[in-house]
Formats: sequence, C-alpha cells, structure tokens
Amino acid sequence: MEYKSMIRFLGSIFVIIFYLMAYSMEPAFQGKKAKASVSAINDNVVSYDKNPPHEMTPLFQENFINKEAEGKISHVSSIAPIGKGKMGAVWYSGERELAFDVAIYFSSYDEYAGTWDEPRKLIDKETSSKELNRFVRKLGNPLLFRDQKGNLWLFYAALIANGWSGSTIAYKVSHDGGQTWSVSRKMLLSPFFNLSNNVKNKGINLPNDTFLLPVYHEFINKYPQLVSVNTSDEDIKYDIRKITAERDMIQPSLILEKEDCISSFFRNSGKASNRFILSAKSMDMGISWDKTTKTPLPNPDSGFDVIKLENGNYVAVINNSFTDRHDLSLVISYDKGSSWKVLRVLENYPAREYSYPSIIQSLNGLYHITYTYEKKQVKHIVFNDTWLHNIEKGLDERVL
Amino acid sequence: MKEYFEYIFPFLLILYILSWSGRQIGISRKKNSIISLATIILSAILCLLPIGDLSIGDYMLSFNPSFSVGIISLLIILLTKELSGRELLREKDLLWFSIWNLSISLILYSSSLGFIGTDMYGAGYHFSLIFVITAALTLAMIFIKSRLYIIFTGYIVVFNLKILPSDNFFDHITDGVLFFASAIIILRFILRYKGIRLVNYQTDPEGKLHEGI
Repeated sequence: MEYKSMIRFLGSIFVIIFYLMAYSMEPAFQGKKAKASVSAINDNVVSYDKNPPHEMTPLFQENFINKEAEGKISHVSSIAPIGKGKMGAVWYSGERELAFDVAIYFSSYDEYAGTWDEPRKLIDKETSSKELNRFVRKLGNPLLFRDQKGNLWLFYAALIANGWSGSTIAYKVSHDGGQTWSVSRKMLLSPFFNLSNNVKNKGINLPNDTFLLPVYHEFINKYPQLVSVNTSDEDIKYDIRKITAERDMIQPSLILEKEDCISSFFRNSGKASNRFILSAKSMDMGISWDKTTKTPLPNPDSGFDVIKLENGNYVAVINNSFTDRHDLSLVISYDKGSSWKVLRVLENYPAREYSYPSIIQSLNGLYHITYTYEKKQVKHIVFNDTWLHNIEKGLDERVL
Repeated sequence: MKEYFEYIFPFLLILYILSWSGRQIGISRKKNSIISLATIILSAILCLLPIGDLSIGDYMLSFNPSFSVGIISLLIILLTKELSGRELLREKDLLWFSIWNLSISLILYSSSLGFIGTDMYGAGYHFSLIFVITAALTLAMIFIKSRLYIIFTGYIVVFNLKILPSDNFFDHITDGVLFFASAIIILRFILRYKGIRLVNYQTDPEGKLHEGI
C-alpha cells in the first residue's frame, strides 16, 4: 500500500473511532428509562414533616410577601419548598417590565409562624453580569425549583437585548435553603446566538438526579420546550427538546401524571379572540408528545400554573377570562384536565390585574399560591386539604 | 478547559483585525518575529483584559456564547493567509465549505426559530442522523483528498473532548457568526464570478465583443 493511501486509511479509522465514541454517549433525555414509581417522585414533595401545621381545621390565609413601593412593580413570582417547614418565593421588581432596574428578590415563609421574612435582593443586572462574566442588559422572569436532593434552583431570564426575544436563561443554586447561593451560570439552549429562551413554571423531578424544566422560545415564533437537567456532576448536563412543532403556545406547566406519562398545559398566545389553555401528553417522559388539544379553560394570553393532588385530581390557578387578567380563580379537574370546576374566585376587580400565579404543595402538605397583585405586590395564599375538601363539598354548577 | 477554549475565537479575531490593520498602514510582520510576537501579545491582552467590567472577549461571548469549530477554522484559514500569504484551503473548497455552513445553518435556524416543525437542535445532543451525515462526508473528503476533512474531523474530535461550552453537536458545526460569514463569502464568490464574466467579454474599438481579453 502506498504511503498516502495508508495515511488516508488510518485517518478514516480515526474518524470512525471518534464517531463510535459519540454513539456510545448517554443522552441526558432518558425517555422511558427515566420512569419511576410516582410515589417516589410525587412532583416536588420529597418527605413530609411529622407534625403538619393546621392538620384538621380548615386553613385559608392570605397575605402579602412584599410591601408596595412607589413607582415599582412586582411581577412573576414563583414559590417552592425550601425545607424545615419553610417556603421560598422569588419575584422581580423594578420600574416596569423590562426596565433596566429590574432585580430579583427572595423571601422565605415559616409555615408554623405564618410569616414572611423581609425580602432581600438576590440579583440585579450588575451582579448577574459580574457573576456570568458576560454582558447583561436586563433581568426578567425568575423561577424557584427544589430538586430531589433538596437543592434550590433559581432560574432567571438574563437579557442581552431590549425585548424578551433577547432572553437567555441563567441559574444559581442554593444548598442551604436559600441562605447562600452559587454564582450565576448561563445555559446554552439555542443555536442562533442563544436566543431566546425564558422560564415561568416549575419542573418535575425524575430519578437519577434529573429534572425536567419547562421553558419556551419567543423569538419570531413562540413554542414550548423541555430541558432535561442532570445534576449528578458539579458541572450539570442538559439538553433541550421542542415539546411540540405547533406555535403560539408558551409557558408550559408540567404534571407527572403516572410513571412514564407527563401532561403539559400551555399559555395560548395565538391571535384568536377566544383563546383556551392548550394541553398535550407525553407517554415517554417528554421525548415525544401527542397533538395539542384545547382545554375548556379560557386564557387571555396570560400565565397560569397547575399541580396534581395526591388523589390524582388537578388544581390550577388561572385568569378565568378570554380578554384580561382581572379574574384570578382556583379551579379543579377530576378527569385529568378534560373538564374543570371553579373552586374559588381568588380575585375579581374590573380593570385591575391579578396574574402570573405559581402554585405548589409544601413538604407539610399545605398548598401555597403566589401571584402578581395589581402589579404592585406579590400576594400569597395558603390553604390545606381540609379547606379544599370543604370547598369541594359545596361545588355547584360552576363548570367551565 | 472550556473556560479557556471559548476565548480562542475572540483572540484569533482580534489578532486578525490587528494584523490586517497593520498591513493597511504598512507594518509588515512577515519575517519580523518581534512584530508578530507583539501582535500576538497585544491581541491576548485586548481579548482578556477587562475594559470596565468585561473584556472584549467577554463581550463577544455575551452575544455568541459558543463559537463553532467551523468559525474557528475559517478564522484560522483567513489569519494564515493574512500572516503568511499561505492558503490552507483552496478557493473551491472554501466555497463548498461556505455552502455547507450556510445550508446546515439555514435548516437548523428554520427549525430553531419555529419555521419548520422538526426538532433539529434536539437531535444534536445524542447520536443521530447529523452524525452519520458528517461522518460520511468526512470519509468522502479523505478519499477525494479535500483538505476540508480536517475541519470535519475537528467537529467530532472537539465534540468528544467536550471543550466547547455547548454539548450540542450542531454548535460544533455552525453558529450565527459563521452563518453570516459564509453568506458573505458566497456573495463575494457570486459577485466575483459576475465580474470575471464582464472582464472576459469586452468590446474592441470597432464595437465588437471579444472573449478572454
């Protein structure tokens, strides 16, 4: 064999070996391999404390997390359990949405005392830029999420351009219930200048130190995506997939329906006058999804959140209107999202805004809702199963 | 490793700009190792030294956080030509490389920006059709003796070594900057091709067209 032919032959072998190495790599998206007993995962509930507060008597309390500040809005809150009978909440405050002074705040709630700590600033664009070592023009949506190991994740939008299209996702992690946080790290989720991904709703925990994080794309076209995050190493691994090829749906809210089935509900950002919340199912843990269907829930192109109760029923907090965000309601479904009933109208005041709810069950079994109250404050509602069952008994014909 | 490797493109770009600017004002680095060394050091300083809070390299990485093997290769080709006058890639190969970059980018961005339903980018995290295509093209290039095989081999080597910020194979092949750079290269080829045709057909003093003057 000639010398040059030999070189070409060896080069080919070398290339084939490298491609075989790539073939043997384990993808972060595990698909059906990720299925596990639902009781072991049960969304974000890891373990219950021994003495849950307000166990027998109905509990329904409302309070505000932060004070109203002149010329400032507070928006896009997110709540998650942080351990030891406490809940943590994050939101952003600033002159307005997409203002340069937007900063992300954190506060914790003691379920036994029923009080919130004084909010503290977690991050603003200057500290984000310093931590990321990258230019950050503005900050946006924050999301708080607790993984199975008890780590608290703050995902937030770090914008490099003026509008939401310039949004990229960064994250910080806390290993001590939100007292101290790691420096920010950026996620690379799009091939085109890393534009433009954003967060709104919590993820779901899976086995093997993995969780699924719902995100969405909104540059030119809007569509939902799912990020599989593996946290087994210090340097996290993740990959992103489209949930659906359809457009005009964002801010997915995920529910682990059964051991390998995920349901997702989407904010409808289409142009139709009467828009409904959309939903889709995946029977292989997010690898592939059914065709999207309409739910009976109205949606004025606004954020909402859904959880699954221990008995399998779904509870959601939505803007119960086709046109605006003045009505915020707690709704329940006994048939996995096919039909819904109004449990309680939380807010209803014409021409005002009550929006962007976040709902979750705490480690104590209490249900917590946070939402934007008239764009000035973040309001918090806590209730227990007894209150929920009492309300359910009194349900009338308020079918949606 | 990733933290250092991501600065390669910003460093090479600054080096290229400095070298090109030097040539424009008559400073030649050819056979002058001191000027070459000074240019390299200055490029590294400009790339890494913070101006305010961030360096030029950080600003570049803010807007395009992962520079592909493709754009780094293209810059090395341009830089080598600028510094030594040597062409690492024949013009025809450069054109084919740019067509490949533009084509793969257009398909990828159409998917990523939601114009087509297929989830191309998601297929770049694990072994999929794109790996088979690039493997086949690499082998084909080895056998047709095209130097492009070096760049194509670079995709999979860097992917396996995990030294780019992204773990997605598509981010090793292309990026937004390469997309625009390839479009410009193709446009230049088109314009030059048209120019050559105009030169080849010229009129003589009697007004008759003649080819190949």
